[in-house]
Amino acid sequence: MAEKSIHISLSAEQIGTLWGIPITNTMLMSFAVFFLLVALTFFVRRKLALIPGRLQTLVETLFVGILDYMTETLGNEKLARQLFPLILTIFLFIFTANIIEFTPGIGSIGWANAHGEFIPLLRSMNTDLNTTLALTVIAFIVIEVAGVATLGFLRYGKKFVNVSSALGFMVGIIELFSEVARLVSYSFRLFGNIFAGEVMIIVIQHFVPIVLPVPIMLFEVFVGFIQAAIFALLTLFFVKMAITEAH
Amino acid sequence: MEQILDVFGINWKLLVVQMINFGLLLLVLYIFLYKPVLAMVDVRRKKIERAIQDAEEADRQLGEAEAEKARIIREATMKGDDIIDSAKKHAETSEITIMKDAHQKAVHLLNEAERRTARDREEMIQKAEREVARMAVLSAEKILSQGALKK
Repeated sequence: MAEKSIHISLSAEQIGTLWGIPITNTMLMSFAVFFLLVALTFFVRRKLALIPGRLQTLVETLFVGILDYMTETLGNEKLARQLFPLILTIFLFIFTANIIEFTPGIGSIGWANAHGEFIPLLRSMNTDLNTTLALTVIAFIVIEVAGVATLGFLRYGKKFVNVSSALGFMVGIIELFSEVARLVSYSFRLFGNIFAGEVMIIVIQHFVPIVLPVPIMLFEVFVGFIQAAIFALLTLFFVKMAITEAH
Repeated sequence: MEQILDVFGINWKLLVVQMINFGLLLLVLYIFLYKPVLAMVDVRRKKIERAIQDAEEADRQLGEAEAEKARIIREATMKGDDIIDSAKKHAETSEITIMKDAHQKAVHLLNEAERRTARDREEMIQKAEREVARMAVLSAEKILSQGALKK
């Protein structure tokens, strides 16, 4: 039996180029998630009625629950309504990508390249730092914009550049660092969790191909849910921190 | 830094594509899912609010109607009692009048009867007296005629 070593690539595999843009398997996966969510949207929307069906009741309950929670957290209904689409889309996008990551075919259908390395056609979306970083940048921009829009540029800037005292100045610098470090922590948290899960499953599959991967996959789906929730909730909390004036 | 970016396959083009993808998803979900669903929830909430208000209004009106009904019944009862009372009083006075009338009439009739009886008796006595007188004359005549014959 020819024992093959496990091949793990940190970066997503490129499967082609279109107009100078490299097409990676995670990019295809994110398109798939996009179309899945859009299809679900139209499925829900088609049956939208004043007297709701079961699916609509579920969707409405979720939406209203999330919106109420956001209103409670932000203490501002208008801002909550404005941010609701972003927070929920972040959650749905990451969550959908994470729960379909073990769908048969994803990661297993592909071909070998010139070096004999296996190139899967689809790869779990969040195992590419590009995706998580893109989401992080969007969240980061929204957080800063929300802060500036709510407090005004000067009052928001005072959080980071505070010359009233030496201690205040130091705190401001630390704040600034932690603000920027968020970009890294955000994107790597999601990437690391999902990537580690994938690697763990690959390793376990290598040694015990049947039965054992199933509970691990179940756990990874749970992790996927948690990570999606964390990403969305942290965005919400950081917005809350951004719109709260420094003491 | 360059190496780290390379290891993780970071590529600004990919970043932009992912951002556009997410932005597009956000837009589509916002237009076709969040907005209509939340609008539907709001519409329903308004409807329910109105329905509850209507129900409260109806309840209030029902209460008013009940009170009105009770008031009307009370008034009607009172009025009915009044009518019965006055009818009773009226009947009592009428009874007294009728009795008085009857009594008067009876007395009058009695008097009349007595008067008539007295008159009748007087007439009869007079008649009897006349008859006795006549009989006496006749008997005297008879006796006298018999006496004359004997002679």
